[in-house]
Amino acid sequence: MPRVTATEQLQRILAVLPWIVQHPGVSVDELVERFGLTRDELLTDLDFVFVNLGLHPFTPDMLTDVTIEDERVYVHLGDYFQRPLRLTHAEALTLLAGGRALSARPGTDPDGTLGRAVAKLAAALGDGAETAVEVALGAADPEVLATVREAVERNRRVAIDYYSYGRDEPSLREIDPYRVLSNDGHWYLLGWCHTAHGERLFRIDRIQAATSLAATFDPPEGAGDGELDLSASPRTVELLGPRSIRWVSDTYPCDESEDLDDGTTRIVLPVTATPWLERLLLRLDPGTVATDLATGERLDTVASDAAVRILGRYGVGPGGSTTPVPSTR
Amino acid sequence: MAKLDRLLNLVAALIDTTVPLTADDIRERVPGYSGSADAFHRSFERDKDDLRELGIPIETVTVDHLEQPRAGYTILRDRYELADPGLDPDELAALHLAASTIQVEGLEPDDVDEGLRKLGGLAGATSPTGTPLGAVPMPSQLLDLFGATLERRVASFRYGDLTRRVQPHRLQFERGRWYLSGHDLERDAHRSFRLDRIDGPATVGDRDAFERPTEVRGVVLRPWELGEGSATKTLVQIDRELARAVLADDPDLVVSETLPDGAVVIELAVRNVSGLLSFMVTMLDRAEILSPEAFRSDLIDWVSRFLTATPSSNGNDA
Repeated sequence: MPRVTATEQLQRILAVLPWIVQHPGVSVDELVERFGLTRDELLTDLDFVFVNLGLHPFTPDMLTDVTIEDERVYVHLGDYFQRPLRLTHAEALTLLAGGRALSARPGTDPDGTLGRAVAKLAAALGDGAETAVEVALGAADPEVLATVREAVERNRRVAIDYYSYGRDEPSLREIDPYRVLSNDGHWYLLGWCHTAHGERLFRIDRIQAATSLAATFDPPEGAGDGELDLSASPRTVELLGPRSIRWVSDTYPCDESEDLDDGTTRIVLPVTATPWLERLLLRLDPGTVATDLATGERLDTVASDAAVRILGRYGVGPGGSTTPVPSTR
Repeated sequence: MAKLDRLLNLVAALIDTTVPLTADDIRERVPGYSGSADAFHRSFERDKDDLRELGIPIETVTVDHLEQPRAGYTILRDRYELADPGLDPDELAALHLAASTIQVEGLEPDDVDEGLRKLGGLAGATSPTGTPLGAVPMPSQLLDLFGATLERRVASFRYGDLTRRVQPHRLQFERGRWYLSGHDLERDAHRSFRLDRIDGPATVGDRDAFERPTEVRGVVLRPWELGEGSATKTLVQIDRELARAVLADDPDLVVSETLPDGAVVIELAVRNVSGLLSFMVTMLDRAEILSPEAFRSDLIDWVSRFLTATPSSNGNDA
């Protein structure tokens, strides 16, 4: 039996004892099962309580009575340990966060078993627990998630219809899936991509559809054990613009950020794909200058190319007319 | 076993007593404390720390004692006892499964077991694969802020070069980040804070320090909803390729129509037009404002500036 510290054993006793007091005649087997203890642990705890627990001046009426008759347990105590100890913040948070995360997933019945359990837990924790914590994990499609999980287990190749947000690019790919993991609340699939000929990470909520293929694979030694690198070989871009661009350094990981004396702000950050930079520049002051630091090339056309494409969708010609064309919708 | 003997009987004595017990009372009443007065005080201090670490609320009060006041100790039942949650075995099992499926990083699996024992038992299996399937990060201030939210304590922390004092109402993990929302006492207004931008620890004040509002508000992550005033119903069409990613980021968006090609039309309540435009340009040419016409014009004006703008190296504020 692993060595248990006095405080660990105390925690156990303080949780189990009140339950026995309130369920006189409960069987040893049920206690062992319900509280995840070995029979030895339970009997040791009960014996300890019987021998040692009592109140000053330790006259017989102040002592604890523990009886085990035909495998049924009875405990008589003074007016203490009638209820278990409250949950610690760590215990409450881990149960509440886990319960909230799973019950908040789309398609989960809020009045289902878990929903009811979380509501009861919150009620027992006190006023305010009901609204204190919310956890929204990436809303991956349960079907896609199930397909890729099974493929990982069975070493089956999968075909995925994937949308790369960074590259703004839909693609059909075949993957040897190594592992499903969750990072900062998003689900990822790590595997060998036969299209890119390399190990890649895919956000599962951006997989439109996944199909398990007949082909199987042997995962190479140590496949997917490496450090997670979510940023594939970025280029380094410098932004120079008015002070109003400062929010960028609060929102995205940046290498450098400084306010210059001439009233401008300079930010240096990694950029993995052009569409990502387009989205960023279109939200900044139009006077902001982006430069590829490695080549010294000014990226003036990045924002204007994207602007032309967007305006095209609204029926505004590439001439750059700033007069809105009335929509026919 | 001497230590367990002391701890168990100390807790029983402190719960049972109607008047706070002084250290001398405890030395006399609780078995297991032996040796010199010095040895007693050392063990008693250590025991108090150990018990508080387990979450046992030992209160320290001042009691009159002959000529000079002394410290007295007690455990208040209503701070010690867990209300009966009345969880059925299948509900306990569901909680067990959830907590072993989604782990809060930095909290021990033991916390799950200990918590469940108090709630009525470790019913049911753990996660089907035996390993957690998801993890939520735990910023260093999270536990203190969670406790402060439950116990209505004012929290103080450094944020954006300022010290904020906040009545915490809600913690939310959204899109990969933890947020705290509450009443900012310096600004006398509802505010939300990113936990990853809090500098250093959060300190908390006394419990029950404020009233919780009847309607607890959370963080607003939709830029088009930021601000007060009336909302304008706005329809936005998003192409199939992007629709899933957008809806996965914000599953509560209202989809008013799904088109045959898989594109969706979502309905937004817009209070902040530049927030809407900023959301629209992140979708590049894969989305379009359908109505109202005024917002279409606003978007065209916004985007057209990038055609005509002549970048200048000193980029004066527009």
